[in-house]
Amino acid sequence: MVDNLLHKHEVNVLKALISANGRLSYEELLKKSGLSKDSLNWAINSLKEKGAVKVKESKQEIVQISEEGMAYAKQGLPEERLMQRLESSGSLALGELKTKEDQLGLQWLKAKGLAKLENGRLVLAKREPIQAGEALRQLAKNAGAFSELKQSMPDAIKELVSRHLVSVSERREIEIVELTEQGKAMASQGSAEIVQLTSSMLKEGSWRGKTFAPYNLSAKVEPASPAREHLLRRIINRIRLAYLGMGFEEVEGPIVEPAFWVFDYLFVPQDHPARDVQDTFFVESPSHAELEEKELANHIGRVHERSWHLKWQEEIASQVVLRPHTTSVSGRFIYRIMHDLNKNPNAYSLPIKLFTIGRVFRNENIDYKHLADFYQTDGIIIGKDLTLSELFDTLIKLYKALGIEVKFKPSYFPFVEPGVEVDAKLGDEWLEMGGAGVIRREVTGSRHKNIRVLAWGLGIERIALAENKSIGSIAHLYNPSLGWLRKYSLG
Amino acid sequence: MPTSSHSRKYLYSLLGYQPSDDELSKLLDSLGMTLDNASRESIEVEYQANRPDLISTVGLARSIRYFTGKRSSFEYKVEEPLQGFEVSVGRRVAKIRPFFAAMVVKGLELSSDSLLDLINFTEKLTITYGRNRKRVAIGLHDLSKVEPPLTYDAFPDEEYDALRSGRMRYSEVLKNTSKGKAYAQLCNVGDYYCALKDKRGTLSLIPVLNSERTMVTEKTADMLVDITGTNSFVVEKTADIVAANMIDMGAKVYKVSIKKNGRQYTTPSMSTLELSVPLSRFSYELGVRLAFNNVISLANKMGIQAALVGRNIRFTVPAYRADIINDQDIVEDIAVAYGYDYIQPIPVVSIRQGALSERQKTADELRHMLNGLGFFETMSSYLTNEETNYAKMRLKPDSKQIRLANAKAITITMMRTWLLPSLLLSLSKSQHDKLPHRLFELDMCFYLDSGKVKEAYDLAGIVSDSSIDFNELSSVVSAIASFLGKKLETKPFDHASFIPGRCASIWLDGKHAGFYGELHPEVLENFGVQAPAMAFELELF
Repeated sequence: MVDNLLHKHEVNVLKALISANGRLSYEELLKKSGLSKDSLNWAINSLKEKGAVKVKESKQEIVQISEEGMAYAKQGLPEERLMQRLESSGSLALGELKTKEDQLGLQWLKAKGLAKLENGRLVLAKREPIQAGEALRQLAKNAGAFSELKQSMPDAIKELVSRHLVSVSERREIEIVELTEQGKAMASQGSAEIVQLTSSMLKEGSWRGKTFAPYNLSAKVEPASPAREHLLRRIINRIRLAYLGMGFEEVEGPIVEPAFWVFDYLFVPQDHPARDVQDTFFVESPSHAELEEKELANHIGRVHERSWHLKWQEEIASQVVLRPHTTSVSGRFIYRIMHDLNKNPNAYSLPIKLFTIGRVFRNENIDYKHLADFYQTDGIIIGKDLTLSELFDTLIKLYKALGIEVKFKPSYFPFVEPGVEVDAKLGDEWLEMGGAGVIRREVTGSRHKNIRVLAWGLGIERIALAENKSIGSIAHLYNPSLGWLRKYSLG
Repeated sequence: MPTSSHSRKYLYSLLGYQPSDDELSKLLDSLGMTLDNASRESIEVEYQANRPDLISTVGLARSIRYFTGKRSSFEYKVEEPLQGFEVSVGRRVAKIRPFFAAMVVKGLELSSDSLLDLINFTEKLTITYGRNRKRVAIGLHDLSKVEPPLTYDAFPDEEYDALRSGRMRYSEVLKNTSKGKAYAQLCNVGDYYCALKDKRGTLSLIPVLNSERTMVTEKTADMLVDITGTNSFVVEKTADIVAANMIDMGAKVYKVSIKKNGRQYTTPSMSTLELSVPLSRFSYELGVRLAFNNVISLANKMGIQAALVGRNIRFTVPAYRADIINDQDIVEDIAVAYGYDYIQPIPVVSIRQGALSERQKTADELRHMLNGLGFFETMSSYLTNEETNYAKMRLKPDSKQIRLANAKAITITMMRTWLLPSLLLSLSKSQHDKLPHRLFELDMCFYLDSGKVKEAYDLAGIVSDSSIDFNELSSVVSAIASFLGKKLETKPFDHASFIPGRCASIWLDGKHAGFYGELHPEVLENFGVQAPAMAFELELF
């Protein structure tokens, strides 16, 4: 009877059980059988199917609070904080609700019917405690309170889960394995078939004339998890290859930069909101860096004063920041190359095509959706008689290599003119990918009228979303758990 | 991009027709704006931050009317100052808020929609273009309640009828009202407060709160507008934008004569910018062949008057266009009017070959190798805190860290100096996942190296399993050394993150490059890791 044939792992399990009077805990069985967890699980399940053992399983709900959830447990949910502000000030103009956090609070207050708009101002509609916040704080104090809260505040728990502030997973574990009567009978039966072919059987030829016990060919197993390129790395590398195929050269530049290369050189006035502490990370130590290109700094200062009607201060330009975009890398190369070209127009064979990919930073309240660091790519082409036509052609080809359709519309960035917004198609929607344009003379300092610089800066995470719709949310790209990494390595 | 809200009814009445949302959305796209959140009553429009003239519904309608050819007049005429109407600017504002402009507006016929637009516009402009009222703020007053002569200066504390707040002293307004708290530091200089006064008293505590007396309502036909700020150009342009809006609302705008430091000038200047650009520029910068009459009609679509003078085209840029600095901005306006959708893509001709950075190529190959050894790559944040980077690793903070001054998130205080804490964070999130756990990261770390910022690439790996084999880790380290073509030496090493006697330093070609060993149980506990773990980290380049 085929059903009675036993794999050696099964035999091990049966032997272990018999030596312990037919009943063992999972942990003891693991030790006694000498099997790995995978093999043991397989053997137990197979024996269960054959009616040789009975299994007692335990079920447990595991509650985890996300980083965002922990932060909210401390500070209150965005809607709770907005509600407090509304309580103290009576009403708020929509214009005052600028941060992402405010917007989130606004959405939830509206969705919960706790606030409404009156003449363009937000006012409280109802005054009642926000249950989700209460539940979150109790959970943060004691995760064990979960089952109780599920009874007393079911809606609040559902909301927390749907907002990804709390996640619940179920863990099933084998607790005890017990031998049945049938199992005892099977254990005592021997088999004349070869269960496992060994190298000694091959050396001696003793396998000849024997039959082989068939394998259970339909046994359920988990897929293997090959370690492969990280999903985000894969996308970064696809973009690098797309650039490479179009004749671009990869370059790198600093992440910790004086504001000069991040803002001033790129014609961003010193009172521009992007330079605000609200948006950009400033470094405390070292807080300032000496500007090495003294002559350039003075020149840029004069250009700023003339164009922005604002006294230019070297102190502000030398403040050290974390780059908020990779355009600072483009800027450094534009400066170096234009400097050479101004001295000698034949210093390079034009056009020069460069790209960079790297991390950039925005001072955000981090949660599962918003990260403070993410990736961006910048590219430049320095050449003669370049126009929007060449810019559009390059960007269309770059995205086409990634299977993405793009379109362009007018936009504004201080350092380009004309300025372009790049939108990509994601399903039926157009998603903003980044900006592009022809770099202003104030930046290139070009002495040769027909040498121009095309440039663009594009978000990588958004390319990932447009390229692979199954990702769903940018946050998934940064999920650090091995479970996720294994799952996506199969995709 | 900032957004601004518009009443549909008012916009349609200004446009003289009712475009569908689809049509409107396409028009706005072509002009570099975006239609957002359309509701039954109103729409929200995203506009470019350098175009404060597009904040108001009046300004938005103006640009659409030019663009669709429904408007062809370019005139914005301001009248000479009225007799006996003068503002003097005192010396005490020189250090805090020196620039002042004003205008008199007559014959306004306001509706609830146009008044709301006017108020939204002044609010929004002063927040965005005005950098939260610092660079510029606008005050609107009912002219019939104003008694000249007027003075703008910083005055000692006194009482006035603060708008919707009752009689209050300046200092009380700054202390007790929400606007006062928000803008106190823009107003207050020592014991003095910026204010605009007439014969009867305070019109406005600047840039904080107007008086009840001169409050503007739907019935207001004549207005006094004051504009103050810290940037002369921005104050001038704001006055021009306000004046253009008032003229488009059907009112007459009169200049106001201002006396400052014994000098006399009038505002708004409403001066246009004259720019001459060779016709050929447009063809070779846009990649599109354009005749002079094409360029002129495209300029007109953007509300810019143009004429051919010799081989140049002379553009008259209206005063309200604060964004146009020079010829490059004109080229962009012509491109926008031509339509980005109609610009033909043309390939860049080049014989250059592409190349990847050598350093990144090495990193790519190491990553493939680690994948082959069963390690999954993690991509963690470069930002961390002392707790994770040091304390949980049983280390004391050192002076090599790059600290951040202003992170909003409480969990961020510094840049990571090494990778192992990132890998342990990943492990801590993988505790429900099947063993063994093998992770690596090859990415950047940051530290101070004799006062200079060092941005280094590290490679770190970690293995966690129910039982671990130290030799497995040694063989991984040895494989990396041999890939790098370097001679590996290891020596016993003391590192608080590892179990004493189970940690070695890594030397490559005689240079100390890193360490590896079995992680201290206290470290594992700190990260909630429930199986033993061993790890390595080395600086690559």
